[in-house]
Formats: sequence, C-alpha cells, structure tokens
Amino acid sequence: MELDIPKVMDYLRQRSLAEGKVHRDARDIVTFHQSFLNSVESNGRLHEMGLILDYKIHSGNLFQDVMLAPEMFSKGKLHILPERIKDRKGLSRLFKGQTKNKKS
Amino acid sequence: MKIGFYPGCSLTGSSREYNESLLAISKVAGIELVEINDWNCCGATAAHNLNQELSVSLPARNLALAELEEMEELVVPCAACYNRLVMTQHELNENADLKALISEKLQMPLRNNIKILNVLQFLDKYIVPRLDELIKAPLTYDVACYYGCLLVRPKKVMQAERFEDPMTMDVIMQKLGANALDWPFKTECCGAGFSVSKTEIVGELSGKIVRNAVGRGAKAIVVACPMCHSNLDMRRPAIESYLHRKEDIPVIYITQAIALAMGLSPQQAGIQRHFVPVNLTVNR
Amino acid sequence: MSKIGVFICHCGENISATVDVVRVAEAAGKLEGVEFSTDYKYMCSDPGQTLIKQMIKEKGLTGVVVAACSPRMHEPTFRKACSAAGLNPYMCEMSNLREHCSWVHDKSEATTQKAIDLVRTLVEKVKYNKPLHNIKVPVTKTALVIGGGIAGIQASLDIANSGHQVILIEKDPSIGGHMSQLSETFPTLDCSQCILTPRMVEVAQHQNITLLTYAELEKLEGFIGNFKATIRKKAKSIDEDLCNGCGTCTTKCPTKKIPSEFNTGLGKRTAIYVPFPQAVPNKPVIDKENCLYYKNGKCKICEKVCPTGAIRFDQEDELVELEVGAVVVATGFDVMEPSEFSEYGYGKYKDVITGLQFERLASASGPTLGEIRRPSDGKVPEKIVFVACAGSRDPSKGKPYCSKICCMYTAKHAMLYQHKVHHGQSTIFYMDIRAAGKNYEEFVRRAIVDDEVNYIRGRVSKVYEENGKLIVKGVDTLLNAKPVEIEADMVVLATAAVANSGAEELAQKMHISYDSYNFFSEAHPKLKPVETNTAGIFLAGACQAPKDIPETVSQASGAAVKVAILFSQDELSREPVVAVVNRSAPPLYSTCVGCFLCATACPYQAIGEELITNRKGEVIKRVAKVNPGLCQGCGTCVAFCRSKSIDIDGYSNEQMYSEVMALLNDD
Repeated sequence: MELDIPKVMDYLRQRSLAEGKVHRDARDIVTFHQSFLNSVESNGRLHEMGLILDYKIHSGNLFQDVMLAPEMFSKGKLHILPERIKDRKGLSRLFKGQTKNKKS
Repeated sequence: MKIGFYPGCSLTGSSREYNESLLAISKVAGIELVEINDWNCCGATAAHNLNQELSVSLPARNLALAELEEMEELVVPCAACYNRLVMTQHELNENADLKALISEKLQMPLRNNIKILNVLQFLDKYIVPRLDELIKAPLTYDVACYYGCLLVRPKKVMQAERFEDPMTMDVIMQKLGANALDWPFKTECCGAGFSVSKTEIVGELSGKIVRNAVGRGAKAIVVACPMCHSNLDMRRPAIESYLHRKEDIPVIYITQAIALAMGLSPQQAGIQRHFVPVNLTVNR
Repeated sequence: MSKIGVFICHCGENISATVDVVRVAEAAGKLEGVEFSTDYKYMCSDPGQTLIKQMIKEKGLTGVVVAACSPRMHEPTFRKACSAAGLNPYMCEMSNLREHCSWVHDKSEATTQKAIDLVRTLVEKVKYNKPLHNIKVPVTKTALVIGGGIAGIQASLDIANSGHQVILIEKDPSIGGHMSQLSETFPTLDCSQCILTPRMVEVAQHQNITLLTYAELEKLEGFIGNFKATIRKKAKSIDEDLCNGCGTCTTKCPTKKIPSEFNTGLGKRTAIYVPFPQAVPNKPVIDKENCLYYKNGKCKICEKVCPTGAIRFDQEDELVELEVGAVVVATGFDVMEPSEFSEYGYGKYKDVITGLQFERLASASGPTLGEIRRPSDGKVPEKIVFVACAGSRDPSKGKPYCSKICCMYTAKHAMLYQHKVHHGQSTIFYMDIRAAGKNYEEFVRRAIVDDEVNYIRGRVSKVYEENGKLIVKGVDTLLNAKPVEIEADMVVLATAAVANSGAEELAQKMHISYDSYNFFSEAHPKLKPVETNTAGIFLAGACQAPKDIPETVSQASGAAVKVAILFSQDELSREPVVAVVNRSAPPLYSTCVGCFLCATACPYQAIGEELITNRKGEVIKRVAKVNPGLCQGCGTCVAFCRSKSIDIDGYSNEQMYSEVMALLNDD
C-alpha cells in the first residue's frame, strides 16, 4: 500500500488555509499563490505584471525585485497589459464557489 | 506536419525565448505547432496548493479544447504545465465521477485520451531522427543537462524510464556534438515556485546545482523547464549570494542548443533574452 | 445385508446440551439396515471404544457409524477400534454432530431433527462402503540432498549418521555455500570458515555420503520412496581420481584476470581454479568460457605441468541416474544486485559495495587479506556508511519482505570495521533494529556502546561522488527529520536476500510449489516448515525464506529427521482413499476412453497411462491409471471425467449420491 504523498501535502495545505492555521513564515507563499489565481481568474492567463503588483500590495514587500523589472521589460519578458482569453465566462464558471480564501 | 501545442503562460511572458527557439527549430524540421485556440492557464503550483477542483478543472479545459480541435497529440514544453496536464488526465481516468463533474462545469465533452508530449518526448519523436541532416554547427563544449523535478516525478504517473539518472537530453546534446557530463544533481530541485515568495530557498537549492555543475567542468547548463531556467538564470544574484562568489555559467534551453547547432542565429534562438550572458566558446 | 451399528456420543455436554441424543439413537435404531443403536457419554474413551468392539463381535456388525465430533478429531481412533475387533476400518464412518450441529445451533426440535438427518445420511453411505486396504509403497533408503551449503551439509550429516545413504550434489566446484564466504558470524564472532570446514571435511569423508560437486539436477521423476533423479555432472576437465590437489596448474595458468565469483567480483581468479583455499573437494575445475584452450585451442599449460596427468580436455558432461527415496532441497539464496537503486550509485561508484562484498574484504582469505580497503584506490576508509534495508521492506521498488539477517550482519560489519580500524567512524542508517535471536540484542548493544557505532534512524536518499569522497544524503528521523549529509570513504548496502536465479526452474523440475519471490513453499507455514506439498521432498535453509545460520541448521536437522522417519519403514502405508479408474471384463476392459482430461486436471501428476495388451503384446486400449502413491484423493479427476470412469474409493459417486438422497428424503 503506497501513500500518495503529494496529494496528502496538498490536502494539508488546503485544510490549513480553510481553518485559518497558516504558519507565519508561510504567509508570503500563500499570498503569492492567491495573487496568481486572482490574475488567472481575471484574465484566463497569468499576467505577470498584475501578479507582482497584487503580491506586493498584499504581502507588503513593496520594494522586492524592483531592480529586476527594468531588465525584464527591456528583454521583452514583462507585458504591461494582460493577455485575456475570450471565453472568460466559461472560465469564471470554474472559479465560482471555489474558495482561495481571500478577497480579490 | 501539424501538431497541437499548449504554450502555457511562461512561454508567452518571462520565458518567451523558449517559445521562440522551439518554434524556430520546428519550422526548420517542417513541423507546424498549432496553438490551442483560447487556451487558459493550467493553474500551475498555485491551483493544486490552494484548491483541489481548480487544479483539475483548469488543465481539463485545455484538454477539452484540444479535443474539440481534433488534436491527437499535444506538445507541452513547460514542464510544470506538462506535469499538471498529465496528472489531470491520470486523475480523471481514475475517477469517473470527477470526470463527469468537470465535463459538466466545462460544458464541453471530455474523452480524456489525447496524447500529451513533453518537450523531450517531442524532440525525440520529431526532431532527433532528423538531426544528422540538420546540424550545421556542432556545439563542442562540456554541458550539464539539468532535468529538474517535474519531468520525472511522480514516478508512477510520469513513467520516466530512468527517473534517478535521465539521459534523454544527454543523448540529444551528444548528437549535437557536445560532451554531456555525468553529474549527480540532474533531478535535484531548483526551488521551483518559491522564486518570489522565498527567494533565498531558490538561492540555496539552485546554488548547489550551479556549484556542482561548475565543479564538474560544465560550460553550460541545459534545461527543459522555464521555472528551472528562471531560477538558474534570472535568480543568479540570489545564487551568488548563497555561494559567496560570482558564477557566470550560462543556462540555455535544449531547444536553444538545437537551434544554435542547426546554424540559426543567436537572435533566432533568443539567447539575448537571458540574464546571464551566453558566451559559449569552443572548448572541450 | 447390512448390519450397521450406530453409536451416538454425548461428548460430555458438547452434543447432549443442544441435541436430544437419546431420541437420535432411537430414531437411528429404526432405520433399515441398522442392527444396533445406542448413545454413550464419551465414545472416544476406553469404555466407549470397548463398547464398539464388543458390539461388532456380539452383533456381527458389517459397518459402524459413530455420531460424535469431527472426523478430523477421532476418525483414526474409531477406525483403529474397529480394526482391533476384526472389522475393516474403512467400514467405519463418523457423523459430525458437534461442529456441524450442536455447536452451531441452539437447543431446539429442529436441531435434534438435523442430528437425526445427519446420522441417517452416514448410515446410507456406509451401506455402500467397501473394505479398503492401506496402500503399501516400497521405500528406497537413499536420500538426495540438493545444495552443499550449511543447510545441505547439516542435513546430509544427520541423515548419514542415522545410517542411511546420502547423495549430496552441489552446483559450484566446492561445497560451503555463502557461509564459506563470511568472515565472522554473529553473535559470537566465530570465524565462519573455522566452524564450517570441519563439517565440510566430515561430509567428504563420511562413508554414507557420496559427494558430487559441479553437478546439478537435470530431471526428477517418481514419487515418495521411489524417486528417479537424473544428475548432470558438469565436465570439470579433470580426472578426479588422478588429481591430488597440488594446485600447480592454478599457479601456472596464464588467464589470471577473471573476476572471482567467490570474492564477489572484488578479486581475480584463473581459468583453471579452486574457488577458495579450503575448498572441498580441493580439486580444480576448468572454466570453459574463459579457458584459452576451449576458446581458441591454444595454451594447455596446465596439462604440461600437472604431475599426475589429471587434465582431461574435451571431457563431456555426464548424466547419472539415481534411485532415491527422499529429496532435501537446500539450494540457498542470493543477494540482490542493487542496480535498481540508481540513487545509491552501486555499479557507478566503485566504493559502494554490498554486504557480501564487505564480508570478503573483512575475510582473512579475501582479496585484501582481511584489511578493509576501498576497491577504488586501495586506501583504508576513515568513514564508512552502512545503509540497512537497501531493497528490503520496499513495496514500490524492491522486495516487500524483511530479509531478516541484515540488521545483525550490519552491526557485525560495523563492529569488525571498528576492530580493524580503531580510529574509523562508522554510521548505520536504519529503519528498525531487528535482533530477535538468542544473544542478538546484546550483540547490537555492544556495537553501539563498546564500539561506538553511530546509529541514525532514517533512510538514505542519495549517494554521489564528489572529489573522491562519497556524499551520503540521509535524514535523522529521531531528531525531527533533520537532514544529514556524511562525506564517507565507503558505503556498504545491506541488500535484500533473494531467491537464487535458477530457483523457479528447479522448483518446476521437481514439481514443488514456490511463491511470487521464488522462495520454495512449505506445506504449512506454522506446523510443517520443512515439508513441501509434494510428498517426499523436504526443504532446508534459505531457499525457503531468508534466515540466519542457527535457524538454517535447525531446519536442516528437522528435514533430516523427516527423511529418517520416512526411511524407518521398509514400506510406506498410505490411506486408500484414492482415485481408481474402473476396470471390467473384456471386451470393454474399462469405460475409460483414454482422453486423459483427468491427467491434465490432476494437481499432483498422479495420473499416467496404462496400455492394455493382448497375449501377443498388441495394444488393445490406452486408458488412464492412477498412481496410488501420489494420489491425494482430491476428486478433481472424478469431476472432469466425461465417461464417469474414475472414482474415489471411500468417496464414490454412489456413496455421495446415497448421502444426498438420504438428506433429501426425510421419512
């Protein structure tokens, strides 16, 4: 009998979130993932700029990676505007009722 | 020759050189990669960490869309997207109720039988057989091929042939003329999604990888995953902070290596988009 | 005309508490064919048995039904009683009123009625019983022992000392097995070869033991007491009678670089070789695959230098047929090749070795003469890491079972290393410490306390090489899963004990059962550890399951006694409840049509063919014939036979039918 360890880990993460028992040191990690999913919910695809801004606001790490941004832009790796999918309605159906445990 | 293609978010953003090099070499080999129409983010680490259903429904939407376009094979270059799509396919095959639920939410039929290929499987099947005729400028350096986690784990689902010591990229690099070194950090984790939230972890884990590769005499690290590339390349300052010294070993995608060997320009391979400059001199 | 006696037992209160035994006796007495019926408190007691004997004589009973407990309890008792009174024991049947009735129901009218039905059923059966006689099978009092390790050696000595002939065959050039490869044995740290070689010599010199080395089992036919074994004596290329074991040939052979099997690949041997100095017999064999003469017709130096002219090139394998009465299988085990565990680097890094290889390093007759040295550069290691459970207790990649001996030998290895290299540091990564034998726990304590071996509870995730050192990455689960990284000079893997590579083939040759790991199956895991399901073939040692030397020796002696029991009779007496193919008068001879479906169904290979011939010797008919020595009376053939030509004596179709009809017709 083998234990599906990744599944157990995911379950524990989701339960800890639901019960509000996130470890202090892990708050930034949760914030990052929530910002990620917020971006996906809005656009259907990840808007990295949006993710970073959302993360900075909610984590309070306002000045993190500021040095990176200019170089990312100049190398064409960061877009100001998001790429949005057409079937956003279909996508929001997937997100309806699914808690990420934070307000957008 | 047309094959279904799921680029994923990183290939359109922070890892666009991976996309560019992949499309470039496919074009040379006469293969057209057809992007799934209106694909969405697979959810990556965030979805499966936070929400069980989203972790399956987001990838499943892409599979359903690919089926609607009657794609038989789907190339997924991003290792994380590949991992999520294969896990989803596996999960839905094991759980008929879940499959029905997801199909209903998607309002799309879901046969769940499309063949998903990661970049190495794609290369092995479509590019490698033609390499002998397509190579114009062999690469002749010592390289360390780095596979990371998601191409080989979980063992039962990924079913990689050699999950402790994979050789697919090594074989390709040898064919390109390079010397693929034997080294023990092929499948050690780079720090994955902690790039932003716990950068020092990436510094330590990726630092150990870089240290070992450099110590073995590698002149470049070859990767097949945008996350690994970003951690080893973009996060070089964090790595140097952990190692307490400067390291200038470049990190290139396997597709870029093939592009250079095919005689395409560095521009076409997207080399200029890296943070760590790629000055590969002929050295064995 | 049947005159059946019915005896209803109260079984104390076991039956009489829920069944009205007096009424049952009364009802039985009214049945047609029943001459006498009574009830009694304890039928199995002396007075009870005397009652049966008396009634047989007084009433001239032709059959007896004892309605009591399960026949598994007392059928032999009552049959013996009948036999003593002059009635054929197979005319006595038991009806189970206890396990089948009184013990499973409450006291009620229905329960008593059921008891009456059960008695009536057996009475009807007994009306069709025929006198049967035990089958006598002769016994050849010679034993074949397959395997010359400590198990085979012990079994051979015990059987030989009980006065019987033994033929011991061993596939390697010398006997001794894995025990001869060990340096010291736990828990006494006795020198392994010192305690083994006297036994090896005793075997060679024993007048009742014929030792055939470099020989394997080719074929085994027959049945208990009457086996015919064909042995292949592989060509040694030596005339054993002329060879005096001087060893000159081995010193002059030019092919010196063959990896030595005895030294587990850590040392080299020549093409003409004796596996180790204390080999028994101490006569060489030529390895045909690597000998220059056999490969390309050159050399022949050994022939030139041999003082007695004992070299015989082009000697052929010889097939020998032996008649034996019993077989003891003692073929031993092997250690797993851990190449499946690429994370440990075995095969990639020279200094990652198995436990057996460490034994050879530690052994005074080994490739390093007992000094612990790294195979890569010959240096003495300052730090050794031992990895326990490398392949055992691992359902996902290795073997799910525990290999039993590794905890002990790993402690031993660490102790030997500390004794030889005083400043050395040894670390053992373990899951549990299984030291269950006599003095075993104290032995492990010595390792920890006296020799300061460092035990870390946790598994090793990776071993890799860096600057000539082996980096071992593990975890200490007792310190809250703290990651541990050790820079070692050598890593020893305690790999799983597995069945020999030829085990499946050998089991199939002998028709004995084996499990999914290719270990041979004992007849009953608790009560029959040395017998197999095939009568006359016994098991000893690690071929049945991984075990240490004390257990092996015990089991070998146990198997020897079973053989001695078998040989203590000139004839074997078997229960006559076996299948029989019907025979009748000519021109039919038998209703059997010779389709042999029964033979294919028989799990015991007990059905062969019989040729019915006329006086001229011409074959008139080919029918099936059951070997009563092998048949176990399971009845599968009876179910298969389309022409109803085969039946079980004592459980015939007629008898079964009468029982069913008796149950269905309750007057």
